[in-house]
Amino acid sequence: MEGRPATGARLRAQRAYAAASPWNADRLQETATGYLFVLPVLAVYAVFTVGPAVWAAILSFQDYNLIGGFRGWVGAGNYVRMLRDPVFVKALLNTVYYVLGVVPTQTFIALVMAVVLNMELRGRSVFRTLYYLPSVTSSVVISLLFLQILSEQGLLNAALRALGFHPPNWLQNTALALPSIMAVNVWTTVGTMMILYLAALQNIPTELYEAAEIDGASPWQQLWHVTVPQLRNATFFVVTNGIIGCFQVFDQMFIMTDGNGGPLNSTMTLMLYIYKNAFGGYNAMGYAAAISFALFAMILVIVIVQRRLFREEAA
Amino acid sequence: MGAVLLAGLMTALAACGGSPASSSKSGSTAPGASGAQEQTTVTLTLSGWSSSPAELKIVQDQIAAFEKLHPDIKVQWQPVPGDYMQKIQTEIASHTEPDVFYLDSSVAYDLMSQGAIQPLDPYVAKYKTDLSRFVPNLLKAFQYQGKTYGFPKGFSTLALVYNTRLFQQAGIGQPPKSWAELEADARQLTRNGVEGLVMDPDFARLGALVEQAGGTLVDSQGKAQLDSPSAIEAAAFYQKLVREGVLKQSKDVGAQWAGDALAKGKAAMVFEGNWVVAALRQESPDLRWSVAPLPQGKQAGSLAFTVAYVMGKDTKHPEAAYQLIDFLTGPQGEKFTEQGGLEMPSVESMLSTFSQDYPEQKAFAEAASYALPWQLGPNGQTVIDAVNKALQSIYLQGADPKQALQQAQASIHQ
Repeated sequence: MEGRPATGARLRAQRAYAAASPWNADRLQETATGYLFVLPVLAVYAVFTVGPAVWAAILSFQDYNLIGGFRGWVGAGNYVRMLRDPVFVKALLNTVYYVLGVVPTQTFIALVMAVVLNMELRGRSVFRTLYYLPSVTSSVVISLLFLQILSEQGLLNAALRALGFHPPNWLQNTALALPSIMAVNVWTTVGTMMILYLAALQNIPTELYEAAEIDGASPWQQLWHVTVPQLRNATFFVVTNGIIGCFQVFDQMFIMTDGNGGPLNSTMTLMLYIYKNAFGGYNAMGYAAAISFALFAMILVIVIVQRRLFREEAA
Repeated sequence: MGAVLLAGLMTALAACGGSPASSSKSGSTAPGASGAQEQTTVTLTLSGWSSSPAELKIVQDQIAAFEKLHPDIKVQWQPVPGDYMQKIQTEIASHTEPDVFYLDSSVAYDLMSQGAIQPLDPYVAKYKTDLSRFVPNLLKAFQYQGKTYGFPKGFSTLALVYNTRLFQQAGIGQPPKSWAELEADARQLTRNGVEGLVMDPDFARLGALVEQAGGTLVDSQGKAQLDSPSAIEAAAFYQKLVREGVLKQSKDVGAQWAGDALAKGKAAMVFEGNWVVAALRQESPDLRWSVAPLPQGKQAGSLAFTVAYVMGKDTKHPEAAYQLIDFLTGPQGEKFTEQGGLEMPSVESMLSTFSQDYPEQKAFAEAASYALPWQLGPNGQTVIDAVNKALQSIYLQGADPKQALQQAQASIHQ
């Protein structure tokens, strides 16, 4: 038979338990202080992000529009409607085309620019600034500028005519309108991606290059076998942000092709279609909310898959 | 992310509405001379848009005249910059819409049918308002199931606006009166980098052609008839002009819109409304132009563009709001519209005065007797977009007019 545990030990145990418990007075105060500090952000996040998102989720099961308000529950009706809506399908295809076109292009160009501007070049800070400028310019301003440049009598066509070409009307051509806007977007965002790559490049330890050089690796081999693998995290970030941004493309289409989806819906994107349904006279806020969640789900799935792929490669 | 963004946008817009119906906190008391008699003053909010200082001045003068007549009612003019309907919609959703506001006939059906604005009939009866004062077609655009929801504040019609110098150079004595003449003249005028006719693949132009062909795009019940024989005939005529190379859209001649093409000397003829006058004078003061009735097909046809004053469903002062609407669209208020010359007065008896004051716009006024306002059914924007896409496919890809319009008709009924 053991005797009762010593009083001292029991007391110590109780104290330890109390200290570990979240209900300990000190800990409680600490927790409260912590929450107090994050409260402003939490409140703003709850009111402007979580709340509306929950509300939008509810709306997506309703027949709801701004003018008439709630007009009944439709179950999954809004989600089923997407499958049979040719404009939605067109918008989805356009958006996917946009992502597939823009993301690899801008990632590749940004990487090349970053590698070049990471070398000891004269005036490289000037170039870095110049390349970054479009990224800090409002996309609305850029869209308005390119609307002028790309119009039938615009700067680009004037130049092409001077060279003896017969240029098309870029933004009014069903085959060229979307690629034209894609080119504008690459031009705009490539600067941001370049900066991200530049930062990551400067984090690569120089020993790696020294070691590679001792092993007799050529500059090209160093680029492919040291730089690119070392930039994995940066690439993940650049590609993920690129995909998210491209899936949500809106301003460029809204301004450069009148917000109507351009010639024969050739520049209709998911975000633009959401806008038209919610606010643009289609009176289908519920449907717009449903498309928003479909878009959200798509982005989520893609990012998860992408994370897996990057992890496997790393392993 | 998309959902979050949309939801955020909604709350942000709703928040912009500001104070609830602002006017609702009425009854602010004006101090009387002795303090014994108190006079209650009602403040009404009035929303619309104004695209020029001249347009703004008309509204301000109208309001001043109204306040002079009704010392107990104050009117707060709250113009909406940017996308007007977007703001009004969110205000309606959050019950903070203005007491009185502009409403374009193209979106009137949705607001009337969903009870977002008030019928004016009880007040029409009470104040014994004579509705026959309005140009008859205009009022119809704001009537739904036998009730009247708004009084037109003015209107514009489509007419043929042409460059007289180019006509002289081409040896054409008078503007075309029929489709055949329009086609022949357009062919003759298309030369030296000038297009005979600049017309966008747009609902608001096809609609006039359809009426000339004897039909309408939307019937009197608000049902779209996009593939009626008249519509197909009109679209086929449009395609014929495109194929002959005598009709181009404004963006293909480096212009923002057809009126801009005319101002730039790139177009000999356009189908435009009264608004083109101010634009031409500003953009190209030396241009010599004239306005003639639109050429006829089987019959004369034109479109009327009209905006009404309507009453918000949440207004706390319907009586005062009605008095304001009635004044603005009555002979006293419309006098300012008539004198402004930017659009035509909705009061029929004032049209002849308008034609005298603005003889160059006479052809627009003449179209008032047959021009039909846009009366679109539910979700008017979907109908407009369907027609525009059909016309684009005809213009850009040479699609068969019948098939394109049948497709458009099918797409709005999914």
